[in-house]
Amino acid sequence: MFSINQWFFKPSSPRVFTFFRIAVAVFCMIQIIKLYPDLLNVFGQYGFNRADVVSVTQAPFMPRITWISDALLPLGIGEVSVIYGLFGFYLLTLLGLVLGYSNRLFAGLALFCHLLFFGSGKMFMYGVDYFTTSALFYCLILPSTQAFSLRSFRFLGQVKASAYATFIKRVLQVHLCLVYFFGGISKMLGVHWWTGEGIWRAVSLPGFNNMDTTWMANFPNMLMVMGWIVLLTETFYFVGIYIKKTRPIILLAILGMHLGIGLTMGLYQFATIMILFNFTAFGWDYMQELFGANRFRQLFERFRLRLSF
Amino acid sequence: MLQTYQKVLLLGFFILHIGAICWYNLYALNTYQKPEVFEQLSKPGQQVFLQLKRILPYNIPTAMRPYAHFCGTDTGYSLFAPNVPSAISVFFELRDADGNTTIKFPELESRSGLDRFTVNLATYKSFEEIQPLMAYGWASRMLEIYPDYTAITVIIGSHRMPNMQAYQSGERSKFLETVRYEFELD
Repeated sequence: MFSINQWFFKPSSPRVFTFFRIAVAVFCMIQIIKLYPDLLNVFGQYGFNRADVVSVTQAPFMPRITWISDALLPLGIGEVSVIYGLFGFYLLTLLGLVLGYSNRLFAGLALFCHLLFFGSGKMFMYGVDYFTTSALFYCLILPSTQAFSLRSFRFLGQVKASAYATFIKRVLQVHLCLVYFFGGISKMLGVHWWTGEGIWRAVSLPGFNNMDTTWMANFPNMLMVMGWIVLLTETFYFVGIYIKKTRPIILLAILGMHLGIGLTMGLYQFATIMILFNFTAFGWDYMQELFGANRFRQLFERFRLRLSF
Repeated sequence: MLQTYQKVLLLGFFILHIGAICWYNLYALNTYQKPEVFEQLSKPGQQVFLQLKRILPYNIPTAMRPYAHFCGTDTGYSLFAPNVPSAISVFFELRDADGNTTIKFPELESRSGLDRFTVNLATYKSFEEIQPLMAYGWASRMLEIYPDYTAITVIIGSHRMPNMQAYQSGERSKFLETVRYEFELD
């Protein structure tokens, strides 16, 4: 019988969160480094979106770079220096997160830096930035320093199972189920995703078309079926992912969808963060079921990092 | 082992966190009430939405906003829904003191930056009241990048992609200008 206590608090290994913490930190590093040439264009108060214009969309509580640059102006430190300084500091906090020392401190600082950038470039932000915020928020609250961290020099050694780890995993899982449910249900109300037109338009949107996909117009039935798969996978993700037999199908379909978004629309970052969320919430456990916990461990032990003084 | 009070606190957090996600997503569905969006829904979709709209929240509680912003859930997840919209495009006509003109596209240095500008254009649609100000921001930046020019026209429009059938019969993407803003340096 379903028990809330068991579902939320049956102790489980927090090892997956070690993977999540490191992967999110590396992802954020790559994300901000790729944006380096455009830091002033996107986040500067005289960039493509003027600070006074952006401020219309900002609530007073939203952190923004001008909080810091205005405070440092009397010291002769201008906005440009603040933006580049913040860029460096953000990278340092992410490095701290990778190393896993004072995890919560570095996760908190990284989240704050990310929110400063986010608030200043609000009009340039999209799905990937919201999910990055969520990922850093989860890094702040998840138990991830038991392994592969400066606090504990082991990658695959004994890691204590904990009820808290299960709880956080459930939060992540339900969050993801809601992401897809609302995404699916809102598409279902329209027309495009039933007829295949949704896929066609998405892959050929000017500005996003990463490769020539015009040949797809010759296969309307294929696009229609793909549209249905998107609708069904997203809307019923929350059911399928918890049924043992359908879990691999759902995982494969979602993985395929995100890889497709990455390849055809060029939204690699969005695709990566979504795959990362899926792997952490469901994929890791599924891999363990598939290979067996010990087999899975043996597989990784070949690459085991031995740290010693 | 967690104590009972710790479990209760954690479950409280769960309800708050998941509740905020649901709230924002249901709130986001309110945009479907706009006539121009409602008419894009399928007939059964319209019927479902009319039932659904009774339970939609009409505002976001003030206390929920900072929390949701802090954990990245202050958004709806209905990407490309109900339908995939036409893409907004912008280009600039720069003019120098002698009257010579040149056409430029947004000058961003990285693919990542360009992707974001494209997204910015999608945001543009949802901020009707500040559209001229956004155009002014883009124009100012372009004049900074090209200091030899003294005037700029921001031309905004949308790319109408033909449907699959029309594409097969030879129709191609069309740019339809919707508005232009002109700015000149003093």
